[in-house]
Amino acid sequence: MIARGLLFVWIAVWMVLGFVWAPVVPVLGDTTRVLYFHIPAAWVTVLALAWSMIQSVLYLAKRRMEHDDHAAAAAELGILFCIVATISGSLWAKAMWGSYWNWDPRETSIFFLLLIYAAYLALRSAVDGEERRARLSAIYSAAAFVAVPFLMFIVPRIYDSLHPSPILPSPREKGSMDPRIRTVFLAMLVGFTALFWWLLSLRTRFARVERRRLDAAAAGA
Amino acid sequence: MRPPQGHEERRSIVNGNLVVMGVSLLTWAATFFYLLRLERRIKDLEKP
Amino acid sequence: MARSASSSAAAVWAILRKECRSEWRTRYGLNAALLFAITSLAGVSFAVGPLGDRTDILSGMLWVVLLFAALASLSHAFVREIEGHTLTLLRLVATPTAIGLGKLLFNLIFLAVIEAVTVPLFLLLMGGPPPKWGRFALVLILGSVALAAACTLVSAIIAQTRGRGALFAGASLPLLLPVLAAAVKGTRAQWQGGTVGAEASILIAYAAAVFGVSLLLYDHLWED
Repeated sequence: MIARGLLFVWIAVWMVLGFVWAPVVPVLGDTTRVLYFHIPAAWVTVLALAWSMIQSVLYLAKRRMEHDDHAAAAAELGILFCIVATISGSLWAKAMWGSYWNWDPRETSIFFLLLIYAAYLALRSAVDGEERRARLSAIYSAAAFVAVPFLMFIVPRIYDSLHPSPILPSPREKGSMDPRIRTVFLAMLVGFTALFWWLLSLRTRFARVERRRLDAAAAGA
Repeated sequence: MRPPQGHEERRSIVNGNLVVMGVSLLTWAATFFYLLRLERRIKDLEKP
Repeated sequence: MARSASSSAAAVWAILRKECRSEWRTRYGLNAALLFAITSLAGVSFAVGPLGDRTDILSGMLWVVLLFAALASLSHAFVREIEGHTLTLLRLVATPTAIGLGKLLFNLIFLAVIEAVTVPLFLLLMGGPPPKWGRFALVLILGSVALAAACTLVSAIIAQTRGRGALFAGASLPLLLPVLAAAVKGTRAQWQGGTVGAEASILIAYAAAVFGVSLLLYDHLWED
């Protein structure tokens, strides 16, 4: 209970500090605050994907349903945070640089992650049978894992020359200039990560309870 | 004498920021308490 | 060790021959795939018109058409197996890896046949300067290998679901984006007078990575 309260206060306080204490980045103006939400959301997106893929491999190795619970829960949370990151990023881009979408390297990467999440969840919904669903989605996750390094690191280098990115300073570099901005940013990073773990535990606990109920019903019937 | 334009603009910008902050805080609070309620319900389901 | 290696090579070869023979018997998969490829090419050509020297758009369109062709046809190999209920029999006589390899080789040949028709038609219909054949062929072949490798693996997964066509396309796309990016860039480079070494390496690396992962994963695919 204390941990929950602490999480609430932590995020609330740093949110306020982000608005009234930390300065704005000159180039970004008042929209600076978006980075306290947008970048942590993107970070959680990646974290969730990594967790989901690790749990998928663990499932294939150990065949314990807890791993599948985690893989699925992380994917559901991941796509949520991914949508938040994509939309906030797009609105920010429109406010700052005039267009909602440019296919610059970061936008391409986040869209790619959205695709992976969507494909994974669509696959899960198309399979009957708990074990088969767990196995097939774990296999797909492992296959998608191959594409990730290519699309996060190699393709952006290609896209740089295909589509010149708008001439803009990387917000991350700017954000690390003023120590107050950096402090709030890192604090929100921590807060979002903690929020993710809490949501993950809620989701997996619910999955376990659901399964117990279904097993009991099947046994009773 | 009329106050310089800058003061009025600055006040509305500050107010605008506070509004956004207020909305964000409210959203966070609503989310948080919703999650607390969820957790309570899961705890109930977990009792054998 | 040598005997099991040669017997699995023999199994792969046998599967490949069986695939080709059963496909050739009815040819409905090939016909449908060819029809689809030509139709999408015609659609693109009709909508966009000849592109003259817009080599950037040309490279993009070429790979979009090839992508469509792959997505429309490469799930066929496994779906036919499931629908004909012959997968169980196949698993009795061959290892999952051999099956996967055999299907991959079949898909490669299948894609090659489709491209043999589609690519020349594309160059004819869409205009564009004559390609530097060596580099063009290199990017085309490597890109197709990467496409086939990813699509074969995904189709093996999808075949066991209720989803089929649209799900296959949706699930394949994330795995095909790296191929698309590198292949388009390489095709554009050869038209604009550059080298394709970097793109070729990316395509080889990706195809190898997907292929390697497939070998590890096929054993898990068919267990019931």
